[in-house]
Amino acid sequence: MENKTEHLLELYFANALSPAEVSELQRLVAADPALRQEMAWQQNLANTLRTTSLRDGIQNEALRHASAPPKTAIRRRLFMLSFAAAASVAVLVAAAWFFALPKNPVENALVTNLVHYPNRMDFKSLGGPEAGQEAAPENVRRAFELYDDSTNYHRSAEALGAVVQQYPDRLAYRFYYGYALLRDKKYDLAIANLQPVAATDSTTFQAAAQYHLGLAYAGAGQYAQARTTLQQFLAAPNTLRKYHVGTEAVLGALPKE
Amino acid sequence: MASIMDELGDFGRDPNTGSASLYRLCLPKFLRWAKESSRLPEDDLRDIFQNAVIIMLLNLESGRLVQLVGTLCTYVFGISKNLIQAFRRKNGRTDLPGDLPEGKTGEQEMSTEERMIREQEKERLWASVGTLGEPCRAIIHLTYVEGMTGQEIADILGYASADVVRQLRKRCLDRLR
Repeated sequence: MENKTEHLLELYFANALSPAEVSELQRLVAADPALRQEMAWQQNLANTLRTTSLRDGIQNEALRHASAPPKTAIRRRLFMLSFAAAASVAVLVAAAWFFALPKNPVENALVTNLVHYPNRMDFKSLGGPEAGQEAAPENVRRAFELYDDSTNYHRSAEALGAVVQQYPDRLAYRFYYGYALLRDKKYDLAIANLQPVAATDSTTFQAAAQYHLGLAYAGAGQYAQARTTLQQFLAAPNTLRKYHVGTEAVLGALPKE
Repeated sequence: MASIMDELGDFGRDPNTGSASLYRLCLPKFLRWAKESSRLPEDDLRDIFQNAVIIMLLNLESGRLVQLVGTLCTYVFGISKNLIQAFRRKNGRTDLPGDLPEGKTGEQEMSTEERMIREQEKERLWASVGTLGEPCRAIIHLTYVEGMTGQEIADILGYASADVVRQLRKRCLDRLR
Protein backbone atom coordinates (compact mmCIF):
# COMPACT_ATOMS: atom_id res chain seq x y z
CA MET A 1 0.00 0.00 0.00
CA GLU A 2 1.24 3.50 -0.77
CA ASN A 3 2.26 5.77 2.11
CA LYS A 4 -0.40 8.27 1.11
CA THR A 5 -3.16 5.66 1.38
CA GLU A 6 -1.81 4.44 4.72
CA HIS A 7 -1.85 8.03 5.94
CA LEU A 8 -5.46 8.45 4.81
CA LEU A 9 -6.43 5.27 6.65
CA GLU A 10 -4.71 6.54 9.77
CA LEU A 11 -6.68 9.79 9.57
CA TYR A 12 -9.86 7.82 8.98
CA PHE A 13 -9.49 5.87 12.22
CA ALA A 14 -8.56 9.11 13.99
CA ASN A 15 -11.70 10.76 12.58
CA ALA A 16 -9.41 13.49 11.29
CA LEU A 17 -10.10 13.40 7.55
CA SER A 18 -10.92 16.66 5.84
CA PRO A 19 -13.87 16.58 3.39
CA ALA A 20 -11.41 16.48 0.47
CA GLU A 21 -9.57 13.57 2.08
CA VAL A 22 -12.87 11.75 2.64
CA SER A 23 -13.62 12.02 -1.09
CA GLU A 24 -10.09 10.92 -1.97
CA LEU A 25 -10.28 7.86 0.25
CA GLN A 26 -13.76 7.01 -1.04
CA ARG A 27 -12.42 7.18 -4.59
CA LEU A 28 -9.44 4.96 -3.75
CA VAL A 29 -11.60 2.40 -1.91
CA ALA A 30 -14.09 2.24 -4.79
CA ALA A 31 -11.29 1.63 -7.30
CA ASP A 32 -9.21 -0.90 -5.35
CA PRO A 33 -10.68 -4.15 -3.98
CA ALA A 34 -7.46 -4.89 -2.07
CA LEU A 35 -7.77 -1.57 -0.25
CA ARG A 36 -11.40 -2.31 0.51
CA GLN A 37 -10.38 -5.61 2.02
CA GLU A 38 -7.57 -4.01 4.00
CA MET A 39 -9.95 -1.42 5.39
CA ALA A 40 -12.43 -4.09 6.42
CA TRP A 41 -9.63 -6.01 8.12
CA GLN A 42 -8.51 -2.93 10.06
CA GLN A 43 -12.12 -2.19 11.00
CA ASN A 44 -12.45 -5.75 12.32
CA LEU A 45 -9.23 -5.21 14.28
CA ALA A 46 -10.60 -1.99 15.74
CA ASN A 47 -13.78 -3.77 16.84
CA THR A 48 -11.75 -6.61 18.38
CA LEU A 49 -9.52 -4.19 20.28
CA ARG A 50 -12.44 -2.38 21.92
CA THR A 51 -12.38 -5.00 24.67
CA THR A 52 -8.66 -4.64 25.40
CA SER A 53 -7.02 -2.30 27.86
CA LEU A 54 -3.78 -0.33 27.72
CA ARG A 55 -3.10 -1.59 31.23
CA ASP A 56 -2.71 -5.15 29.95
CA GLY A 57 0.54 -4.10 28.29
CA ILE A 58 2.29 -3.37 31.61
CA GLN A 59 4.41 -6.38 32.50
CA ASN A 60 5.93 -5.24 35.79
CA GLU A 61 3.68 -6.21 38.69
CA ALA A 62 4.43 -3.12 40.78
CA LEU A 63 3.86 -0.75 37.89
CA ARG A 64 0.67 -2.51 36.90
CA HIS A 65 -0.61 -2.20 40.46
CA ALA A 66 0.29 1.49 40.43
CA SER A 67 -1.69 2.02 37.23
CA ALA A 68 -5.04 1.73 39.00
CA PRO A 69 -6.39 4.79 40.82
CA PRO A 70 -5.52 4.59 44.53
CA LYS A 71 -8.17 3.05 46.78
CA THR A 72 -8.61 6.35 48.62
CA ALA A 73 -9.63 8.02 45.37
CA ILE A 74 -12.07 5.22 44.62
CA ARG A 75 -13.41 5.28 48.16
CA ARG A 76 -13.83 9.06 47.93
CA ARG A 77 -15.74 8.74 44.67
CA LEU A 78 -17.89 5.96 46.05
CA PHE A 79 -18.55 8.07 49.15
CA MET A 80 -19.52 11.07 47.02
CA LEU A 81 -21.70 8.87 44.80
CA SER A 82 -23.44 7.27 47.78
CA PHE A 83 -23.80 10.68 49.46
CA ALA A 84 -25.34 12.09 46.28
CA ALA A 85 -27.57 9.04 45.94
CA ALA A 86 -28.64 9.30 49.59
CA ALA A 87 -29.36 13.00 49.14
CA SER A 88 -31.35 12.26 45.98
CA VAL A 89 -33.33 9.57 47.75
CA ALA A 90 -34.05 11.92 50.66
CA VAL A 91 -35.29 14.63 48.31
CA LEU A 92 -37.39 12.16 46.37
CA VAL A 93 -38.98 10.70 49.48
CA ALA A 94 -40.04 14.19 50.51
CA ALA A 95 -41.22 15.02 47.00
CA ALA A 96 -43.15 11.76 46.79
CA TRP A 97 -45.12 12.69 49.87
CA PHE A 98 -45.98 16.11 48.45
CA PHE A 99 -46.27 15.33 44.77
CA ALA A 100 -47.32 11.69 44.81
CA LEU A 101 -44.61 10.06 42.67
CA PRO A 102 -45.71 6.96 40.78
CA LYS A 103 -46.15 4.03 43.11
CA ASN A 104 -44.44 1.69 40.62
CA PRO A 105 -40.87 1.05 41.89
CA VAL A 106 -39.62 0.55 38.33
CA GLU A 107 -40.98 3.95 37.30
CA ASN A 108 -39.40 5.42 40.44
CA ALA A 109 -36.05 3.92 39.55
CA LEU A 110 -36.32 5.32 36.02
CA VAL A 111 -37.20 8.80 37.31
CA THR A 112 -34.30 8.72 39.74
CA ASN A 113 -31.66 7.42 37.36
CA LEU A 114 -32.41 9.09 34.05
CA VAL A 115 -30.12 12.06 33.63
CA HIS A 116 -29.83 14.23 30.55
CA TYR A 117 -27.51 12.67 28.00
CA PRO A 118 -25.20 15.46 26.83
CA ASN A 119 -25.33 16.58 23.22
CA ARG A 120 -22.00 15.46 21.79
CA MET A 121 -22.66 16.33 18.20
CA ASP A 122 -19.72 18.19 16.76
CA PHE A 123 -21.75 21.14 15.52
CA LYS A 124 -22.99 21.82 19.05
CA SER A 125 -20.43 20.83 21.62
CA LEU A 126 -17.48 22.41 19.85
CA GLY A 127 -19.24 25.68 19.08
CA GLY A 128 -19.91 24.93 15.46
CA PRO A 129 -18.04 23.03 12.75
CA GLU A 130 -14.26 23.23 12.71
CA ALA A 131 -12.44 24.66 9.73
CA GLY A 132 -12.83 22.38 6.75
CA GLN A 133 -15.73 20.43 8.24
CA GLU A 134 -19.15 20.35 6.71
CA ALA A 135 -21.84 22.23 8.67
CA ALA A 136 -24.89 20.21 9.69
CA PRO A 137 -28.15 21.02 7.85
CA GLU A 138 -30.32 23.69 9.48
CA ASN A 139 -33.18 21.37 10.45
CA VAL A 140 -30.71 19.02 12.16
CA ARG A 141 -29.14 21.88 14.11
CA ARG A 142 -32.59 23.11 15.19
CA ALA A 143 -33.63 19.64 16.33
CA PHE A 144 -30.55 19.40 18.49
CA GLU A 145 -31.09 22.90 19.86
CA LEU A 146 -34.51 21.68 21.02
CA TYR A 147 -32.80 18.63 22.52
CA ASP A 148 -30.39 20.87 24.42
CA ASP A 149 -33.40 22.44 26.13
CA SER A 150 -33.83 19.39 28.28
CA THR A 151 -37.16 20.58 29.71
CA ASN A 152 -39.20 19.49 26.69
CA TYR A 153 -38.29 16.11 25.31
CA HIS A 154 -41.64 15.82 23.58
CA ARG A 155 -40.78 18.66 21.20
CA SER A 156 -37.23 17.48 20.65
CA ALA A 157 -38.48 13.93 19.98
CA GLU A 158 -40.84 15.27 17.28
CA ALA A 159 -38.07 17.27 15.63
CA LEU A 160 -35.54 14.45 15.85
CA GLY A 161 -38.12 12.02 14.46
CA ALA A 162 -38.28 14.11 11.28
CA VAL A 163 -34.47 14.15 11.12
CA VAL A 164 -34.30 10.36 11.46
CA GLN A 165 -36.88 9.97 8.69
CA GLN A 166 -34.67 12.08 6.46
CA TYR A 167 -31.42 10.31 7.49
CA PRO A 168 -32.49 6.77 8.47
CA ASP A 169 -28.93 5.38 8.41
CA ARG A 170 -27.43 7.97 10.77
CA LEU A 171 -27.08 6.05 13.99
CA ALA A 172 -26.09 9.12 15.99
CA TYR A 173 -29.32 10.88 15.11
CA ARG A 174 -31.30 7.70 15.85
CA PHE A 175 -29.67 7.41 19.26
CA TYR A 176 -30.69 10.91 20.33
CA TYR A 177 -34.19 10.36 18.93
CA GLY A 178 -34.49 7.12 20.91
CA TYR A 179 -33.23 8.86 24.03
CA ALA A 180 -35.71 11.74 23.66
CA LEU A 181 -38.54 9.22 23.21
CA LEU A 182 -37.41 7.45 26.39
CA ARG A 183 -37.57 10.73 28.31
CA ASP A 184 -41.00 11.40 26.77
CA LYS A 185 -42.07 7.94 28.02
CA LYS A 186 -42.78 6.68 24.50
CA TYR A 187 -41.13 3.44 25.49
CA ASP A 188 -42.08 1.23 22.54
CA LEU A 189 -40.83 3.76 20.01
CA ALA A 190 -37.71 4.34 22.11
CA ILE A 191 -37.02 0.59 22.02
CA ALA A 192 -37.46 0.47 18.24
CA ASN A 193 -34.92 3.26 17.75
CA LEU A 194 -32.36 2.36 20.39
CA GLN A 195 -32.21 -1.30 19.37
CA PRO A 196 -30.29 -0.82 16.08
CA VAL A 197 -27.81 1.53 17.75
CA ALA A 198 -27.24 -0.89 20.64
CA ALA A 199 -26.75 -3.72 18.16
CA THR A 200 -24.04 -1.94 16.14
CA ASP A 201 -20.60 -2.46 17.71
CA SER A 202 -18.81 0.16 15.69
CA THR A 203 -20.82 3.18 16.72
CA THR A 204 -19.74 5.56 19.46
CA PHE A 205 -23.17 5.41 21.07
CA GLN A 206 -23.44 1.64 21.32
CA ALA A 207 -22.87 1.36 25.07
CA ALA A 208 -25.08 4.34 25.95
CA ALA A 209 -27.77 2.96 23.64
CA GLN A 210 -27.60 -0.44 25.34
CA TYR A 211 -28.03 1.12 28.79
CA HIS A 212 -30.96 3.31 27.73
CA LEU A 213 -32.52 0.44 25.79
CA GLY A 214 -32.56 -1.51 29.06
CA LEU A 215 -34.35 1.39 30.73
CA ALA A 216 -36.84 1.62 27.86
CA TYR A 217 -37.66 -2.08 28.22
CA ALA A 218 -38.18 -1.49 31.94
CA GLY A 219 -40.48 1.46 31.23
CA ALA A 220 -42.47 -0.61 28.73
CA GLY A 221 -42.98 -3.38 31.26
CA GLN A 222 -40.81 -5.82 29.32
CA TYR A 223 -38.96 -6.77 32.48
CA ALA A 224 -37.24 -9.93 31.23
CA GLN A 225 -35.77 -8.02 28.28
CA ALA A 226 -34.81 -5.16 30.58
CA ARG A 227 -33.00 -7.54 32.91
CA THR A 228 -31.11 -9.26 30.07
CA THR A 229 -30.10 -6.01 28.39
CA LEU A 230 -28.93 -4.32 31.59
CA GLN A 231 -27.01 -7.38 32.72
CA GLN A 232 -25.29 -7.50 29.31
CA PHE A 233 -24.46 -3.81 29.69
CA LEU A 234 -22.87 -4.43 33.09
CA ALA A 235 -20.88 -7.37 31.77
CA ALA A 236 -19.65 -5.66 28.58
CA PRO A 237 -16.19 -4.10 28.61
CA ASN A 238 -17.21 -0.47 28.03
CA THR A 239 -16.18 2.78 29.64
CA LEU A 240 -19.59 3.94 30.83
CA ARG A 241 -19.02 3.19 34.50
CA LYS A 242 -21.06 6.25 35.37
CA TYR A 243 -24.20 4.31 34.46
CA HIS A 244 -23.46 1.31 36.64
CA VAL A 245 -25.14 2.78 39.72
CA GLY A 246 -28.32 3.46 37.71
CA THR A 247 -28.20 0.00 36.15
CA GLU A 248 -28.01 -1.68 39.54
CA ALA A 249 -30.86 0.50 40.81
CA VAL A 250 -33.19 -0.36 37.93
CA LEU A 251 -32.27 -4.06 38.08
CA GLY A 252 -33.06 -4.01 41.78
CA ALA A 253 -36.47 -2.43 41.11
CA LEU A 254 -37.53 -5.01 38.53
CA PRO A 255 -40.05 -7.58 39.76
CA LYS A 256 -38.44 -10.86 40.77
CA GLU A 257 -38.56 -13.58 38.10
CA MET B 1 16.81 19.88 37.97
CA ALA B 2 18.01 17.58 40.76
CA SER B 3 14.54 17.48 42.31
CA ILE B 4 12.93 16.61 38.97
CA MET B 5 15.44 13.79 38.46
CA ASP B 6 14.63 12.62 41.98
CA GLU B 7 10.92 12.64 41.16
CA LEU B 8 11.34 10.04 38.44
CA GLY B 9 13.75 7.98 40.51
CA ASP B 10 11.44 8.13 43.52
CA PHE B 11 8.53 7.04 41.38
CA GLY B 12 10.45 4.09 40.00
CA ARG B 13 11.46 2.97 43.50
CA ASP B 14 7.93 3.19 44.92
CA PRO B 15 5.37 3.36 42.12
CA ASN B 16 2.36 2.95 44.39
CA THR B 17 3.23 5.99 46.47
CA GLY B 18 4.19 7.89 43.32
CA SER B 19 0.90 7.06 41.66
CA ALA B 20 -1.10 7.99 44.76
CA SER B 21 0.73 11.31 44.80
CA LEU B 22 -0.08 11.91 41.13
CA TYR B 23 -3.78 11.30 41.75
CA ARG B 24 -3.79 13.41 44.90
CA LEU B 25 -1.87 16.39 43.55
CA CYS B 26 -2.26 16.39 39.78
CA LEU B 27 -5.72 15.01 39.14
CA PRO B 28 -7.61 17.90 40.79
CA LYS B 29 -5.56 20.45 38.81
CA PHE B 30 -6.09 18.50 35.62
CA LEU B 31 -9.84 18.26 36.19
CA ARG B 32 -10.13 22.00 36.85
CA TRP B 33 -8.24 22.88 33.69
CA ALA B 34 -9.78 20.19 31.48
CA LYS B 35 -13.43 20.85 32.43
CA GLU B 36 -12.98 24.48 31.46
CA SER B 37 -11.12 23.91 28.21
CA SER B 38 -12.71 20.73 26.88
CA ARG B 39 -16.23 20.81 28.34
CA LEU B 40 -16.05 17.04 28.69
CA PRO B 41 -17.84 15.29 31.59
CA GLU B 42 -15.76 14.59 34.70
CA ASP B 43 -16.05 10.80 34.37
CA ASP B 44 -14.57 10.89 30.88
CA LEU B 45 -11.78 13.18 32.07
CA ARG B 46 -10.95 10.83 34.94
CA ASP B 47 -10.72 7.94 32.48
CA ILE B 48 -8.45 10.05 30.28
CA PHE B 49 -6.20 10.89 33.22
CA GLN B 50 -5.98 7.22 34.15
CA ASN B 51 -5.01 6.33 30.59
CA ALA B 52 -2.35 9.04 30.68
CA VAL B 53 -0.91 7.53 33.88
CA ILE B 54 -0.90 4.09 32.23
CA ILE B 55 0.93 5.46 29.19
CA MET B 56 3.48 7.13 31.47
CA LEU B 57 4.04 3.76 33.19
CA LEU B 58 4.40 1.99 29.84
CA ASN B 59 7.01 4.55 28.83
CA LEU B 60 8.82 4.11 32.15
CA GLU B 61 8.80 0.33 31.85
CA SER B 62 10.03 0.33 28.25
CA GLY B 63 12.83 2.80 28.93
CA ARG B 64 11.33 5.47 26.67
CA LEU B 65 10.95 7.71 29.74
CA VAL B 66 14.34 8.19 31.39
CA GLN B 67 14.39 11.92 31.99
CA LEU B 68 11.79 14.53 32.75
CA VAL B 69 11.97 18.02 31.29
CA GLY B 70 9.36 19.35 33.69
CA THR B 71 7.57 17.60 36.53
CA LEU B 72 5.83 14.26 36.36
CA CYS B 73 2.54 16.18 36.59
CA THR B 74 3.43 18.21 33.51
CA TYR B 75 4.44 15.05 31.69
CA VAL B 76 1.12 13.36 32.45
CA PHE B 77 -0.73 16.58 31.56
CA GLY B 78 0.95 16.59 28.17
CA ILE B 79 -0.18 13.04 27.48
CA SER B 80 -3.69 13.88 28.69
CA LYS B 81 -3.99 16.82 26.28
CA ASN B 82 -3.30 14.54 23.33
CA LEU B 83 -5.80 11.99 24.66
CA ILE B 84 -8.45 14.72 25.05
CA GLN B 85 -7.89 15.84 21.48
CA ALA B 86 -8.38 12.31 20.16
CA PHE B 87 -11.35 11.71 22.47
CA ARG B 88 -13.16 14.80 21.22
CA ARG B 89 -12.61 13.74 17.63
CA LYS B 90 -13.82 10.24 18.41
CA ASN B 91 -16.97 11.42 20.19
CA GLY B 92 -17.68 14.14 17.71
CA ARG B 93 -17.94 11.53 15.01
CA THR B 94 -21.26 12.01 13.23
CA ASP B 95 -22.74 10.03 10.41
CA LEU B 96 -22.43 12.90 8.00
CA PRO B 97 -22.61 12.73 4.23
CA GLY B 98 -19.36 11.45 2.86
CA ASP B 99 -18.86 8.82 5.56
CA LEU B 100 -17.07 5.79 4.16
CA PRO B 101 -18.78 2.43 3.83
CA GLU B 102 -16.89 1.03 6.83
CA GLY B 103 -19.36 -1.69 7.61
CA LYS B 104 -21.54 0.20 10.05
CA THR B 105 -24.55 -0.64 7.97
CA GLY B 106 -22.72 -3.23 5.88
CA GLU B 107 -23.12 -5.87 8.59
CA GLN B 108 -26.79 -6.26 7.79
CA GLU B 109 -25.96 -6.98 4.14
CA MET B 110 -23.56 -9.84 4.94
CA SER B 111 -24.51 -13.41 4.21
CA THR B 112 -24.39 -15.98 7.02
CA GLU B 113 -21.17 -17.38 5.59
CA GLU B 114 -19.54 -13.95 5.41
CA ARG B 115 -20.64 -13.28 8.98
CA MET B 116 -19.12 -16.59 10.14
CA ILE B 117 -15.85 -15.81 8.38
CA ARG B 118 -15.84 -12.37 9.99
CA GLU B 119 -16.41 -13.97 13.43
CA GLN B 120 -13.62 -16.50 12.93
CA GLU B 121 -11.25 -13.75 11.84
CA LYS B 122 -12.21 -11.80 14.94
CA GLU B 123 -11.39 -14.77 17.18
CA ARG B 124 -8.07 -15.29 15.43
CA LEU B 125 -7.24 -11.60 15.79
CA TRP B 126 -8.19 -11.67 19.43
CA ALA B 127 -5.77 -14.57 20.04
CA SER B 128 -3.01 -12.77 18.09
CA VAL B 129 -3.51 -9.48 19.94
CA GLY B 130 -3.01 -11.40 23.17
CA THR B 131 0.48 -12.40 22.07
CA LEU B 132 1.57 -8.88 21.13
CA GLY B 133 4.16 -7.28 23.31
CA GLU B 134 5.04 -3.63 23.73
CA PRO B 135 5.26 -1.27 21.93
CA CYS B 136 2.95 -2.98 19.41
CA ARG B 137 0.08 -3.33 21.85
CA ALA B 138 0.21 0.33 22.85
CA ILE B 139 0.62 1.65 19.30
CA ILE B 140 -2.25 -0.43 17.95
CA HIS B 141 -4.50 0.34 20.92
CA LEU B 142 -3.84 4.06 20.62
CA THR B 143 -4.49 3.96 16.86
CA TYR B 144 -7.68 1.93 16.76
CA VAL B 145 -9.26 2.39 20.20
CA GLU B 146 -8.21 5.91 21.17
CA GLY B 147 -8.19 7.10 17.54
CA MET B 148 -4.84 8.87 17.69
CA THR B 149 -2.76 10.01 14.75
CA GLY B 150 0.84 8.95 14.19
CA GLN B 151 2.10 12.34 15.42
CA GLU B 152 0.02 12.19 18.60
CA ILE B 153 1.28 8.67 19.33
CA ALA B 154 4.87 9.79 18.69
CA ASP B 155 4.37 12.71 21.11
CA ILE B 156 3.05 10.61 23.98
CA LEU B 157 5.20 7.52 23.53
CA GLY B 158 8.33 9.57 22.98
CA TYR B 159 9.19 8.54 19.42
CA ALA B 160 11.17 10.85 17.17
CA SER B 161 8.48 11.30 14.54
CA ALA B 162 5.14 10.15 13.18
CA ASP B 163 6.99 8.18 10.48
CA VAL B 164 8.75 6.08 13.11
CA VAL B 165 5.37 5.23 14.63
CA ARG B 166 3.93 4.37 11.21
CA GLN B 167 6.82 2.04 10.41
CA LEU B 168 6.47 0.33 13.78
CA ARG B 169 2.73 0.04 13.36
CA LYS B 170 3.11 -1.53 9.93
CA ARG B 171 5.41 -4.19 11.41
CA CYS B 172 2.99 -4.76 14.29
CA LEU B 173 0.04 -5.17 11.92
CA ASP B 174 2.03 -7.63 9.79
CA ARG B 175 2.52 -9.75 12.92
CA LEU B 176 -1.23 -9.89 13.35
CA ARG B 177 -2.06 -10.97 9.80
